[in-house]
Amino acid sequence: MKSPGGNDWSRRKSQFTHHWLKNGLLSALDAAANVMHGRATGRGYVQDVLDHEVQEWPARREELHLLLDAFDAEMSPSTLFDIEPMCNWEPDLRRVMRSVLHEAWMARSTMREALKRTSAAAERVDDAYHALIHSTDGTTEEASGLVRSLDVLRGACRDLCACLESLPQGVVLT
Amino acid sequence: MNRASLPTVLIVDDLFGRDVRGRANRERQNLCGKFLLREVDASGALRPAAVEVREAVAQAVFCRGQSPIDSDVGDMVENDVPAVLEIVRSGWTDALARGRAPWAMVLLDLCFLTGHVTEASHRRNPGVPEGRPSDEETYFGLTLLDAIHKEAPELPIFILSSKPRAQVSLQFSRRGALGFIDRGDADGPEQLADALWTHGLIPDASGGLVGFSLGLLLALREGRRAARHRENMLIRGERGSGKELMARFVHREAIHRVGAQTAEDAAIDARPFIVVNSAIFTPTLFASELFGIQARTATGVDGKAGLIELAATGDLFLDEIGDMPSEVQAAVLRALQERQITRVGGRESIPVDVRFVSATNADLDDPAGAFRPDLLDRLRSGGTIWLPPLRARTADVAMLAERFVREAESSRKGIRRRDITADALALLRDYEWPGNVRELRSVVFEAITRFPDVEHLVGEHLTIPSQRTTKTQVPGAKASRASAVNAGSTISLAELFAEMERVRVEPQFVADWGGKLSEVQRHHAQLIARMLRAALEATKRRTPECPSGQVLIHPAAKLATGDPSLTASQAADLFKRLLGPLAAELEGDLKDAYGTALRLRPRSGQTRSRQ
Repeated sequence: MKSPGGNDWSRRKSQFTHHWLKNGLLSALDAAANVMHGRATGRGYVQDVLDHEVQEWPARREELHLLLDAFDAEMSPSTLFDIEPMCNWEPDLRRVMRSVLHEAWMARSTMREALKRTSAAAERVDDAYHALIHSTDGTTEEASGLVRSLDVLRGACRDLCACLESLPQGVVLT
Repeated sequence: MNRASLPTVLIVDDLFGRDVRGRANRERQNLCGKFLLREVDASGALRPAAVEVREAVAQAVFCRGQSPIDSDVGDMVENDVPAVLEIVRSGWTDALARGRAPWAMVLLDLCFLTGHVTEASHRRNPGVPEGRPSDEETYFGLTLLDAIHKEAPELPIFILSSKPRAQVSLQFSRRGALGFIDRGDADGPEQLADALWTHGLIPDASGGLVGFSLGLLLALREGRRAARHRENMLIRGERGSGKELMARFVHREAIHRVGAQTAEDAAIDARPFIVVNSAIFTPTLFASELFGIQARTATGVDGKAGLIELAATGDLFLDEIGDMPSEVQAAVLRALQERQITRVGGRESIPVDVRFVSATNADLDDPAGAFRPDLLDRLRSGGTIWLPPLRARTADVAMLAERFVREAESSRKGIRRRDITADALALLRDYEWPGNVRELRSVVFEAITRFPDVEHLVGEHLTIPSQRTTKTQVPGAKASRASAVNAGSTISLAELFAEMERVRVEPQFVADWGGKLSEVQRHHAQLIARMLRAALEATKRRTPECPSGQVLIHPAAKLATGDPSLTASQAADLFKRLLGPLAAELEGDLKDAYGTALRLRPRSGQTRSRQ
């Protein structure tokens, strides 16, 4: 059951952004980059990162799409009609006002742009992921190509983090 | 930097404290690879790692701030403050007491997930629970920050988190954390190296200033901070406490910043370091040595550059500035104000780019003294570094003695290698060392010269006057309950304060001295006030926001009394009791401290005896 006021959406966003994207994937990519740039060594480490953390992206991408798709339903101020005191309003009035509030929010909200930017950032991560996988087809010995692809993916992931962090933590009326 | 000299950081997290089990330890390894850390266990032994770091920023001990440490599906995971404090103490209180390097810094995560480890949560991150809504609402990292800061106010703490900094910046600042490193930032190693450089408690890796005591580590930190700028610095400390070594440390550290290996460093490396002992020159000679002499063809006088010119782009170390003649003080002040000098007998102004690093063991702040206050202000425009006396660094004595023994052995042929026996160490630790480290070195060298053919340095080899081996005795004091316990050994300041308060004077004595007793009591109160002021100065928390330092009565009281178990309330009572008689005339730090004590303990009669 979803909690009111966007808590559940925020928690899922936090799990994706902080617990997986930043602490999981980005940490691994940065460590792999240090190996590729000669600041550290690790036999088979880069390949291991490619096989595990990076390979999680397709499944996580779906999770992210679901999260972004659920934004309107869970983060619109219309969800305030599900909780005290507005849930006590007369049902017809509540239905009408819920719709009005949602439309007004959609029209005024800057969230629409933020969501678009986030979706675009996710697409760039997807592109970078495919480029990286392609660059490692057959061999991982082509170091310069791999380093480049790895750096592009790191940059795209950071952009995605920034976009996700710009989305609200709870329901906002503006 | 070799591994032995790497600073050790404690990382408290909800993910990384688990034992290696399959891929369960993966995130810890990634973090080490990302931040260029070497993972070690609590004993300092290197742990196996997937990534071998070449130029490590630090070595890290990980601690899961939760129990159980190694969780699996079905386990209930809860946050655990006492367990974290235990680990903090092992590398802080215990390390400092035993003369080991303490934590250079603690890095705290913010969000700790709690609750049941489910199949789903375990699949996402092995051993990690689902989390409760409250985990995201009230960060456990901030609770830990409060607890650790209360336990160890001088221990530097940084937040290391993937959460947005802005969300918690006010909260972590108010609770005493010194900064925030975002785990997602690409330049993580550089940020961590910078944080360690500026705030970390790190021993002198070059071996110049030997020891791990808190006072020394705080002084070294000030030295590192001074190495970042070119402002003039003042070094204060008793004779023989290592002021010139500190000046050289400041000079040298400018080129050894963690991770900085640039072409600019090489240029800094070539900067000169010139030493001037202010005590050995007459006024005339001092001026010509400092400012140089203008050549005169008519009189055949050869010109020569002065020491200030020779130190151009580098550091001029002015030792014992309290001995600088007043005429020279005026000329030095002009040079500092105008950043140019004129050679003796010359007219031409020569621009100079020199940093003055000065040292003194005298209190130059005395307005009735001979030192110009305007010059003093200029000489310490970049801050003051306080070097602790050796008697306040008892835990360092063994390491220093070992160092001097090896030095003496290697400096002379045919001398046997020896160990230092426990009785010799006890004697060395128990002595007050008015001549500080220099005196300790002399005593050790003399012992080795006199006894070159032995395998053990024993107490009988050491020339320490026996009547001077006991610390802070009260001459003529009648044995009381407190002093009887310590008869023939030492008395702590806490006990001394208690003894002073117990003094009862016979009425006839008062009559004989014609009312002089109140004057004596007043001087007594002033003496204690000076002691407390010194303790407050030594324990101030200096931050970029408050460079003059924040007065902290709790650590100051602990330092002044030598009692690490003193509570905050007892510290407040102590300040109230000792400063009360002077309350009307208190100024500066003492006034602040007294005000804090009154706020903390507004009512009287709450003093709880520790005996």
